[in-house]
Amino acid sequence: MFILSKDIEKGKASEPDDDFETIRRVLAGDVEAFSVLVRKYQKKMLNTAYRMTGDYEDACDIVQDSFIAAFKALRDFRGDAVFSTWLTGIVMNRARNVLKQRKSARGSLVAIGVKGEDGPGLDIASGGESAFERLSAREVQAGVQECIGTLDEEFREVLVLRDIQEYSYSEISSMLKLAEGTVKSRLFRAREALRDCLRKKLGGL
Amino acid sequence: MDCRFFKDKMGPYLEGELPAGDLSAFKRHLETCAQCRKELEDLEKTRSYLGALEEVEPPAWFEQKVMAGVREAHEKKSVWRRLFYPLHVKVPAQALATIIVVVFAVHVFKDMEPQMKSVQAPPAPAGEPAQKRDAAPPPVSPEKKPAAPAVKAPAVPAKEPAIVADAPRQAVQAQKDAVSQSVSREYKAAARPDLPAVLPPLAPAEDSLRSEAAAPPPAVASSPATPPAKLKERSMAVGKRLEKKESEAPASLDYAPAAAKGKSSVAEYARRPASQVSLKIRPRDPGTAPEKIRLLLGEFGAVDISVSDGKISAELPADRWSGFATGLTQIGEIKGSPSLPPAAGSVRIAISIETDPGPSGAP
Repeated sequence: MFILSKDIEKGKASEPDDDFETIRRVLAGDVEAFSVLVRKYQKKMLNTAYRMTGDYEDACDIVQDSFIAAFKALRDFRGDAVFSTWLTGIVMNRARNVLKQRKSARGSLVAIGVKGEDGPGLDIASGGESAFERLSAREVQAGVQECIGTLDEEFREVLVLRDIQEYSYSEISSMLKLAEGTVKSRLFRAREALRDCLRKKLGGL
Repeated sequence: MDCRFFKDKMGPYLEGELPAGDLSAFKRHLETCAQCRKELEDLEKTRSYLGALEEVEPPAWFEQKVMAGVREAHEKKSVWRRLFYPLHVKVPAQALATIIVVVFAVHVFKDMEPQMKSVQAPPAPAGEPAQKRDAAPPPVSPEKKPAAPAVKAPAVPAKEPAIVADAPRQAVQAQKDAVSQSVSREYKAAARPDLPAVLPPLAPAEDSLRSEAAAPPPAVASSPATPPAKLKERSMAVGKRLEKKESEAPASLDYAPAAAKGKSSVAEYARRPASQVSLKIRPRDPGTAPEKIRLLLGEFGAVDISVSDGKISAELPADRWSGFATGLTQIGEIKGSPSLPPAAGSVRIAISIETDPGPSGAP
């Protein structure tokens, strides 16, 4: 048992250690070593960004920019957090900026009378409870993503980080620079809001 | 119990964070409340949907694209570093180099200034003698005795002996002709080769004069290729001969046997060069002239140099006289006709410096 827990600790600790070694190499001038970090974290970062924005291309742009920003600021990375946490914080910041831009763009669209929401959601929900049964997994996923998109950013991000990316509360609080209690309360409210949305969108759960 | 109360417990419940007291009450409520059960059930479903969301895959080119951006950022950084980092090193180096060049240039310019003045000065003194030659009659003309016709022409350059070298070419030519004429006439009239006797002991001059003395007069007259230096020496000699009274005969004048007999005043000058030479100089730069003369004296081996109040005296080796006299003309205009020093031994030189730029041509 003792040995096992030690091994687990070791295994857990080895990942950041590897990242630190890679970062040390990059800082020493080995730019190509940064590709190790890109390869390692690109998928997780892309999924985080994708769930935040609901747009694959936006997510790709966000993650690419975040990696470059991280590279530029690598000297400022003190190592008081693990690299993935630091990088996720950068991704979340960029995602937030994209959402803000989108919101202001949509605001102007609403102002000229274009309504962008609810369209497909109503179609899916039109069939009632039995309709949900007929929904394919893909459609359910699309509905979930749509509902995530309806949440306010502050709820969305805790939901994505906790229920999709499965980060710990302490990691999330570090990424978002929030108290753990705030993270939790936001998370619970986010889940409820999402449940309500999904009921509405999918015609029941 | 109110469902709303338990609604707020659902989140912590699902997270396993509900305190033990709340947990039992919550569980009891769920057993009785179908609505709350449904709420909790949907909440769990919601979380499971979120967890079941399929992961998206990054595009195949994604890592390369990201790395391309990273490399670009790195190069930009390098460019900035290349642009600005060297500045910290190079700017002071360039500034230092510029300062050094400027300081050096100023130093050189300041150093050159007096020299440039003296370089610019010559036109005035060069013009003056020519005027003077025309305007001022030779003051020594009454003293001319047998060689009167011969002396007339040479008397002109005699006023400014060493300046001949600086004078325009025409003047040189005129003097040359005059001298050779006078020499030949002198030979005819006096039949004495006393002229060479007064020449400074310069080897080429001696040689040419010796040949002149030996050759018949027409040959002398027909040799116009006499170099200016020789002319200068000769005209100096003629001029000095006119002024000299207290001179003594040099022992070394082997080519002047006739002069040694001393029948005329011309012969007297030739035989007795001055042991003391006084001359006046009007320097181009009165400020530096005493020092320049002193240095010149030193350069020509003068001893016992004393400088006081515009007067310089020194003991100069006689055989260095001509060189010194030439050097003196570089410093200023020699006024009057200095007497001839002896060909050997030493000569006492007294130079008085005229500082007031009096009207040119005034004796």
